[in-house]
Formats: sequence, structure tokens, C-alpha cells
Amino acid sequence: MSNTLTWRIGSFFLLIALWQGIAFLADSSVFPPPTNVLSSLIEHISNGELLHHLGITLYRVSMIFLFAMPIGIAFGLLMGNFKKVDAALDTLLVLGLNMPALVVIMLCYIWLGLSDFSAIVAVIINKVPMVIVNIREGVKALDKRLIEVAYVYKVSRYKLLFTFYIPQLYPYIIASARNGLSLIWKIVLVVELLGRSDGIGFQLSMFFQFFDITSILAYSFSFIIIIILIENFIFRPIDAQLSKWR
Amino acid sequence: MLNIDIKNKKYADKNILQNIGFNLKAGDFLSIIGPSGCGKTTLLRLITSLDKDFEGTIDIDSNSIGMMFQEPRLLPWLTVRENIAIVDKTGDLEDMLKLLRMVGMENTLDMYPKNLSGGMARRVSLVRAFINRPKLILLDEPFVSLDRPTALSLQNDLMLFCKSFNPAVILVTHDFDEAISLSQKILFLGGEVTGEIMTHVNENNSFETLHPTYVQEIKENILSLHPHILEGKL
Repeated sequence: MSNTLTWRIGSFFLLIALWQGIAFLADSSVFPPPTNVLSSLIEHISNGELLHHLGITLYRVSMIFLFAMPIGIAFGLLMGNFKKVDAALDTLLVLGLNMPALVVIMLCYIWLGLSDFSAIVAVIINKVPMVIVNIREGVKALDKRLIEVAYVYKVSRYKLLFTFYIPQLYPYIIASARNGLSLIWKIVLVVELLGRSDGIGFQLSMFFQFFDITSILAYSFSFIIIIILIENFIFRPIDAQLSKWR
Repeated sequence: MLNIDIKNKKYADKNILQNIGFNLKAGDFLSIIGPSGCGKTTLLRLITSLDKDFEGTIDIDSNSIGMMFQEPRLLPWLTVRENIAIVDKTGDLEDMLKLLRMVGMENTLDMYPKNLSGGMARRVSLVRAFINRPKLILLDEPFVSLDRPTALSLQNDLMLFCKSFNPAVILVTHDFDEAISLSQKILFLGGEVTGEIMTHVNENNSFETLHPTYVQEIKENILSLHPHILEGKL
């Protein structure tokens, strides 16, 4: 374990050193060294501005995550289990998967107004089809023999779902959650850039207009740090707890 | 207890089961033998309602059915205790321990299936089948792929449970000796003798294992009556 930690930290510092070296050689304001980015990050944090926008973006990301995951899992279960539901919704699913995120965002802003609600709905619409596809494939790969045990012993629907289905689908759910989170926050920035007056996406667009690359990188890193914390302090412990039987 | 009257069961336009009718009462032990693909497992699927597509009627006078499958079918993410509790309608841990103790498995409560041997996993599956004291127990080749001593010891445990709780039992098996030594009635499926129930010995509901020479005698009688049922092909 400590060995893998050494590799993680080692590769991180190697990357930073490489970046510092290239920035030194390039010597350009559009390629700032990591030290400048770090001091810009500290400055933005200390004046409170970064935390304010970070909080707003995080709120949006979590709302989207909390709605998109259960909706996607529910429809994935239905489509994986019932052929008629699958047939009825499949075209819609393909449409949802291939509809450009940008188009969905624009339509939501036009139809629902330039509000937080439309921003959140737009990203949910983008994310849900991907969760559905993952879970539907998971349902198809379920061990039907175990499900038969549930039917023979007439276990309740609640137990069927939470004891027989979800644990088998768990690898698919955690994969959806992980790539879901990374996708959601990327789209949220676009949503904020296009139609909100706060959040990290909005701030990035402002910095872009002034070619303030240092601040752009500082803001991006603040969110990457949050994602790393979520991965290490939420996803990994849950993963370890639920995989202990393996 | 159990009344079965199956007129016809088709699978992909092929008649799998036709005119199968029998009754079982508490304490009856019926073995079903026949070649592969003759519909033995299909019959169990009809009784458990896993398959409802057939002509005929199946009446079961029991709220619950206990079943052992060809594999133990324990949920790998649950401990032994949780695997049994998930089907247990009373939630009485003492009772679960009592059954586990009867098969010498009381120390495995918190173990995961991956840490159990094949024989141990099947004993858990046996306890799970009996935990609700069902009046009907279905066994779908539960001793298959076990070594001989383990299979015999598991059969002893099964008979101990049957003696204690007196359910009606249906055992599907390929093993002629197993069918003769465990059951009072044998139903042949497949070929000309389909549907015939052969009642042999043990009419006093005794579960004593038959004397080996007696077994041989019965087997020879059956084989002389039905020469096409060759040993090893069942």
C-alpha cells in the first residue's frame, strides 16, 4: 500500500517538475509555471471569491449527481428487465446519447429560461442516458440463477432490489458514478459559461477574456483537487466497504 | 399436500412433459429420474412457478417451498447468517443456529461463501431450504459434483432434517442408487415409462437406508422391467 502511495506522490511531483521546467524554458505569460498558479490559487482563495464560485458549482454538480444517478439506475433496471420497456425507450435513449450537450443546454435555456433550474435540468438530460446504458448492460450480465433463488423463496421486492440486484450491479453503478462525476462537472462549466453569472465556468470565461491563463489554471485546479478528495474520501472507502466479500 | 396434474408442457414447440400426475403427502419422498433433457428440472420449475407456461394444474398446500439447486446458489456478498436470514420469515437467530448445529455448521455464521468448501456451502443451502419449515422441499441434483464421502454425509444431513421436520420431498437425480436408497417412490421421466410412479419398500415412512443387497435386487428388478433404462445413462 505504502509502495503505491510512493508511486502516486512521485509521479505527481515529477509532473510538476516537468511543468516548471517547460514554463521556465518557454518563458511566456500564456504558459505560467506551477508556482505562479499556486500563488494565484492562494490569492483567489484568500479573497473569498474562489470559494464562493466553487461552492455554487459544487452545489450544481451535487444536485445533478443526486438526480441523474437514481433516475438512470431506475430506467436502466426497467429497460434491462422488461423487453417491452426497452423497446419503447430504446430510440429515445439513442437520441439522448447522441444529442450534443451544447444543443441540450441551448434548448433548456431557451425553453425553460436562463435559470439555475434549466442549467441543472440540461446536465441531468446529458448524464442520465449514460447511466441507463451502463445499468442496462449490468442487468443483462446478472446471474439469473441467483435471482431465481429470490423468486423460489418469495423474498419481498425490497429485498430483491437491494439484496439481489444492486450488489450485483454495484460495479456498474460505481463506474457510472465515477465517470459521471467527471463528466457532470465538465458540462456544468459549459452551462455556467453559456448562461450563468456565477460558478467556476462563468469565472473561467471572464479570465479567458483577459487572457489570464494563471487564474484559469488556478480555478481548474481548485476543482480537480475537490474531485481527488471525493475520489479518495468518498468513492474509495465506499468501494472498499462494499467489496470486502470479494 | 401437493397435487400435480400436468397435461402438457411445451418448450420451443416440443412436448417436454405430457400427462404427469401424482400426489404427495407430508413425509413422502419422491425421486425423479430419467435421461438428460427429459424434463426433470422443468417439472421443478413448474412447481416453483419459475415457469408458468403449461397446461394443467399444480396445487400446493404450503405457504413456502424450500429448494436446493444443483449449485449452492449462495449470494457471495452475504455471510452465511445473512444468506439464510434473507429467506427466513421468522428472523429467529436461535432457530437458525439450531439447524446449523444439526449439520455441524454453527461456527460458520459470519463466514462468506468464498471461504466455504463445496460440501459446507451445500449444507448452508440445506439449512436455507428448511429454515421456514416448508411442507414441500425440492432438490435439483443437490449432490452432483461432490465427492462420494461428502455426498453421503450430506445425504445423511438431509435425511436427519426430513425425519425431524417431515416435509414432502422431491429429489431430481441422475443417480440410480441415490434414488433407491433415499426415496419411497420413484418417478421415471422420458421414454415409454414416462409418468410411471414406482413405489418401492419403506411404506412405513421409514428413512432407513436400505441394505445394499436389497438395493441391488430392486435395481435388477427395475432394469429387467425396463431394460432400456441403462445404468449410467440416467
